[in-house]
Amino acid sequence: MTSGSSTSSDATRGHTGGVSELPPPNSPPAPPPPGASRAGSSDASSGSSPGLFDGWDWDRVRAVAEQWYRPLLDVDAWKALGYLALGALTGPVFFALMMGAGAVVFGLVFVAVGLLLIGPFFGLVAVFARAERAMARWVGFDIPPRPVGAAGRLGWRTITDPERWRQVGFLAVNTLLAPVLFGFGSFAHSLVVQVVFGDGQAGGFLTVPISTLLALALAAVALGAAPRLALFFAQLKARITAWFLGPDELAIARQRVSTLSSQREDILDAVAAERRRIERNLHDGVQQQLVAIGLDLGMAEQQIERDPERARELLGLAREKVQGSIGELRQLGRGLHPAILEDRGLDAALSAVVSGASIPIAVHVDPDLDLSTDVAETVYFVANEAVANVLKHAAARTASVNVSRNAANVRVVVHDDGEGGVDATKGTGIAGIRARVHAVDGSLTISSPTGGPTTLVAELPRQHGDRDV
Amino acid sequence: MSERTLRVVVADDSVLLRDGIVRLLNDSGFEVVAAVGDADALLDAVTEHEPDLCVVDVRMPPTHTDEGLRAAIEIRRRTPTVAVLVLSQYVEERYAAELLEGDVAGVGYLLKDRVIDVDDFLSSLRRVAGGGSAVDAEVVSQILGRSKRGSELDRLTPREREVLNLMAEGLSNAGIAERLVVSHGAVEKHISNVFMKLGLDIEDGGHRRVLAVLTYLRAE
Repeated sequence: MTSGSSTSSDATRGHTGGVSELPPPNSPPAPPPPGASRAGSSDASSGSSPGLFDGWDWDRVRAVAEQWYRPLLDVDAWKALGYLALGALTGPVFFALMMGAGAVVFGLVFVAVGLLLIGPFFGLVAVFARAERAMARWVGFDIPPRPVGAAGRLGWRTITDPERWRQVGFLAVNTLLAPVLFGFGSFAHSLVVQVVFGDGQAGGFLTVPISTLLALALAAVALGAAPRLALFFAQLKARITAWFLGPDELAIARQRVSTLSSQREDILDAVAAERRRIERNLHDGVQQQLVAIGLDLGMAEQQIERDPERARELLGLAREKVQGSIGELRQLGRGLHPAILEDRGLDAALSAVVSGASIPIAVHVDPDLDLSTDVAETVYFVANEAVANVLKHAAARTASVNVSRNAANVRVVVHDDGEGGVDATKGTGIAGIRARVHAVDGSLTISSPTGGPTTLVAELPRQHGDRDV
Repeated sequence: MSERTLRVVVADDSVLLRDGIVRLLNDSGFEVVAAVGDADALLDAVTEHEPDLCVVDVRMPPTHTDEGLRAAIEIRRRTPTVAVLVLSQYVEERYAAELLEGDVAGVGYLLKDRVIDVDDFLSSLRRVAGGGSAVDAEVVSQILGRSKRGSELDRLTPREREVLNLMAEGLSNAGIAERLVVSHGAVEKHISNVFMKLGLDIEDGGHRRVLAVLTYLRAE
């Protein structure tokens, strides 16, 4: 029955056959050999006294038994037992070492040497904590480290860091907790072992058959319960470990909220700066040009009778200014909303940006970027602003724009051979770029030594949208 | 008015517009003694050349807010003989009020696009240089619109309101007659009606009248 059931359960539970048909590879010290336990269980549940159970639905009994004993073949349950067993060992050992080290440090504080050992002491505590976190991985708990403060020059700052003391607290709690949890988690295993292998007791039972039967039945039940208990208590222990040593979700969320709100400030500032820039461009650029054109036309009108040659000259001037204004308006519109980006894509949009430039600017865009819309717009904006900066300030002879992708990110690199010395803290251009990059959770780095060259690198996630905190 | 060539300093940071105004003035019998791009250069040029008139843009570097206006007020304080015509991108009553607060003789405040109407602009320039004033029609209508004297103004006929506006802009009786294409006598009749209906007590024409009208309109 058992071997047959094992293969069927393998198939249904999706385990790899190799693992579950063999005894668990890293089986902990206590559990009985699987062969023996199987023999015991079949004796207890079906084989021992058939006469009593005549008329039972054996298929159903087999199904129930199968279900009850299936976890015995679950390698995770044996890992859980191993985790508890090792933890019961490391808990007191780590605690003892910590207390020993602590006592030494405390003792030496009075001769000042101990002050230098405070940092190493907390370092040792951190190592133990890391070991406990690593062990929890066996039962499927990947506990990221809880951030601790910087240790400071001599490590003294550790002593005021509540996160460091939290680790100490964990080791103290764990020295009691780990053995207790191991006791609970392995209770059923030890019961089975006692009944099956405990010669003295078993011998006693044999003289009283009813008691023997009862004990065997109890052991049979316990055998199925054992992996379940081990799993339950192992998870409980891992959870407690995670609570002490894992990151605080609330703190992470708070951190994220404060990052987001400072980013939002940046974005609002950038939007305001952008509006001011547009207003200025309209007022000081296009409007002035229109007034100047009007002035030329007004003068031409005035002169047309008296001095037709002069009037013609003025009309020519007016026409030139109209062309200038159209160019400026186009530039302005491009900075506001890149219609070409939607219509023709990033490559075409960026080519249009550099097409009117006074220096050669090479554009290379990876054809297979797969960007979400807001990221594509950000890429465009960053490149557009960076190129505008290059043309305005860098005095460069050539420049390049390169947009490429890697696993999760898109990388925008704008390079020029100009005079460098870009101060990233000054100017609304860079601040605007930075705010836009942060808005999609990207990062921006600028390298611009005096004398050049200047390289601006923006790295953005390719897909940006709702994300988990 | 134009027996003597008027000497002018032009201050505007937009090169296009500055060049345009300089060209216009040179073509129209003014002498442009300096054309500058910011307020400090303007003050220096005024000290150096002692011109008859300055044409000043309100927004100039470095902050592009009201440098030109500050400079204009400073010029009026230092050298009251130098007339100032301030050009603004948009009309702001506060600017006008600051500029016209004291003596409005030789002060003008016009919307920048008025330069397009070349003849009107030139006559405003000559009026201001001759000790008159020029207040933009837009400013006047803003002041009128906000005036608490609504009920009293309602008693004016449409023609009389037009005349009131033009007086506030700084036009002389002759200028008003020309603008409205009516006779000199008709203008005088309208003006005396306005004064009577509003209870204003004004002895003669000129800039004092402008001030009186503006003061009246702005009063609570």
